[in-house]
Amino acid sequence: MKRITGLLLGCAGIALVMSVFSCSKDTTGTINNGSGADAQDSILLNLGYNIILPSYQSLADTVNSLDSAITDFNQSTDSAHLARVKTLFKNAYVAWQAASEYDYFGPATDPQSVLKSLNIFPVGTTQIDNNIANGNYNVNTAANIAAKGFPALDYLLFGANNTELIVDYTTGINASNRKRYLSAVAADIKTEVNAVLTAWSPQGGNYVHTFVTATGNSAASGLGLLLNSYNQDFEILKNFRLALPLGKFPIGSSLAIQPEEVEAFYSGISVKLALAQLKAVQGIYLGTGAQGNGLGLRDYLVKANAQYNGGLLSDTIAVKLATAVTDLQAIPDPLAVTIQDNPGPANAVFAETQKLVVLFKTDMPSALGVLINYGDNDGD
Amino acid sequence: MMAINTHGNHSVMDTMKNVFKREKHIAPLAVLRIAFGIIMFISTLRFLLKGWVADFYIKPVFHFTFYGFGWVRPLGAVGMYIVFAILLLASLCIAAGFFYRVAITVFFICFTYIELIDVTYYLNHYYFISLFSFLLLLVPAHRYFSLDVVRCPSLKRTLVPGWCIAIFKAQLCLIYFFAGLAKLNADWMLHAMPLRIWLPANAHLPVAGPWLIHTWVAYVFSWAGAFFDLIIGFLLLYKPTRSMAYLLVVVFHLLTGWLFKIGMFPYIMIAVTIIFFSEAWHQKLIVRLGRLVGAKASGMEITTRSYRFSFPGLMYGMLAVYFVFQLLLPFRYLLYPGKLYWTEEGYRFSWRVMLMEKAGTTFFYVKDPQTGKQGEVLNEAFLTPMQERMMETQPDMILQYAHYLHDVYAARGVHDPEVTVKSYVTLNGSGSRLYIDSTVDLAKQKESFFTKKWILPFHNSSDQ
Repeated sequence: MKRITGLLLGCAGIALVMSVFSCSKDTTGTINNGSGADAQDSILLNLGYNIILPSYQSLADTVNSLDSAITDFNQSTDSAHLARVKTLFKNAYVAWQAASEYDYFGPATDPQSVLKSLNIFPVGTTQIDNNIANGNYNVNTAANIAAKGFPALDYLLFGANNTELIVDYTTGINASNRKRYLSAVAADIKTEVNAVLTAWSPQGGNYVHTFVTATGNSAASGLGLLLNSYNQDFEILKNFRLALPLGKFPIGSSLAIQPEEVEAFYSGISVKLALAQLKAVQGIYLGTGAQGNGLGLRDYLVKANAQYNGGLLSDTIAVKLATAVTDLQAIPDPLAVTIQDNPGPANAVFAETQKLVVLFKTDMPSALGVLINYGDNDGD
Repeated sequence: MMAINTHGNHSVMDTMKNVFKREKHIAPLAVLRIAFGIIMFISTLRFLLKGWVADFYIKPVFHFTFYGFGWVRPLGAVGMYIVFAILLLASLCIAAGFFYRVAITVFFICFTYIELIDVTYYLNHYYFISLFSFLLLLVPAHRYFSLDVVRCPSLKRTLVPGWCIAIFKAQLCLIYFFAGLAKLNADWMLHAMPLRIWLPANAHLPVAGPWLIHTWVAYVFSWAGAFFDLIIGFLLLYKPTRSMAYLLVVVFHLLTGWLFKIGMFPYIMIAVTIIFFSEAWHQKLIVRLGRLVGAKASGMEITTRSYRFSFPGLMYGMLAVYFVFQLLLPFRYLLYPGKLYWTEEGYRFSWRVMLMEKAGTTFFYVKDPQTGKQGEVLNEAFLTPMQERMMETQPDMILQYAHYLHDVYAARGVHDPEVTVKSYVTLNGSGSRLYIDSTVDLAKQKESFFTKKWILPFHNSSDQ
């Protein structure tokens, strides 16, 4: 057993040597502000406090205004109040897009406030009509996933012309039930969004602290969580905002354009919404948020000196994002009409998002040693 | 195994005879049995507690199978949990030496069955466990310090032919040596890839973290890792360096376990390399263990009883085939053209561990040849995220999935659909580039041991 004792002494010795070394390492790390550990922290800090929190704050503000405007509209149901509700709806929907990049981790995945459930499209119009008719429903349940959130409001507020809508909400059959449904959907959005904001806020659950202090590159680190969520959200732009209505998916043998599959079919603001999402994606990448320019995902790539096709990966992504924003901006709303008259530009943007998916999902995580997994497993 | 090559031919035969036929004390085998059983019990329990049985074997609608093993299917929820329960029970029986022959055989079959269900979860250390349990079922590891001996004292033996212990040392030496050989390439040695990417990503770790951002540290780790793998087998075999070598094994594996997400692998290696210690060391350990469980001292018998195999010739023949196969398999990649890390033809079952930072994105297209209409497949409808991720960098899996898509869309009424891919892969920081010939109808390509001509070559100006 002497050998065992020897081994233990040896281990202790090595540990001692390592800890002595580590002291000197720590000092160099602190002095050198440009060190990886340090930079990583400040990128997460900027993302957490200057981009994510303000995005949720703005979403909550717009959603709260929308909810009170709907209360007003239900009391004085006229075209002036309807117009106000419509404007605030668009603002809130745009704000949702700018926060959807964080839908797949943290408070936005809490079972009581799954934020991505607020935007399941296409909307279940029959289900909404049935809910209104029988007046018996709970909006925040899995059964009503296609009858709630922004797509439901899109249908309830834009499903007919203004004159017809006023009639529907005043003298039409089930008018009072309809008002009740409208406010139930708005209230549900408000509750879920505010729950997520509270959970992120330093004054509430302070998840922002958890996020910015989870340094490193594991699946549970701030960077790992954000990159995975960012990727999933971006694929929704490519797959559901563009590919699905453009008829890119093989459904049996019919592959026609499907305009009714667009997001915000009734209000016709699909491009506006897609643009809001793409700009948010770009903001997280560049580090630009409510507080102006800061550190973003790009700075991780600069630090890692990641290469792409003879140049820098950080520049390639920035250029391709800018191109996609410009090209998407040039497409006129409503998208449902545009893709039938002239699908070319939308197809071009789709192709650009496809290239970006490769860069986001393959090049970026690989250059940073982050696993894009959405799951868990060992490696060897 | 390797050390004997330094002697002349004549003495090689003598040494072989000495190592294989001379009788050795059984204690190292008993300790190995206990260590293996316990570590397998912990591994299996951990696998269950992480919910991986459901995630890996119950939820997926499609499984990637090994070439020639397409007939291996999962059993459904109840069946899969029963198999894992059997593994748990068998591990305990192996450790205790209770109906050992049955337990180790059942363990080998169940474990190998699980590994064959889906290529997605292939890990070198799972392959290692299959091999090690196979070797364990050949030897009488239960004939000493076991419940089988308590149950039936006449089973007890104190001596076994030397090869019963040597085969485990040989297997471990092969693994380390091949792992070292695999590191002797430009990416690892000259560019410090992929450690150059992986180490800085650990900069947040306490103690060593701040140093990991330096490129020279990646070079030190790369060279030290290659050197360790190449030489550790010899150091473990050679008595004067053995204790130091085992200490190195412990430090090396704990360090890699701390830096990388490699699960149970480090602990399994630490547990099984104790086989290299001397008979006397193992006998003393058994005396101590015996006192712990309140058994009578069993390490210092005066009388000895030898274990004899009924058909030693058959056993030698089988082991010869086994080890020749083990020696040749990792070299099969030489039969394929192109860069091994890129094509992965001949990559698995070769102890290539942690050598690549590789990731990909693959878009699959299904085309109706009659109408000419083509659509992109939403992979998430058929694959779990992990299956998709593993498929995207491995051509044989891309092909299997293409065949599956052909069948799915044929069943949905598309007549003999064409399946093509747009696949982008980045390897060790190369930046993503086209991986598969996007004009080839993969539905028409057959899987075989021949090279896959539709894998595009890896042009890397900075490498060769």
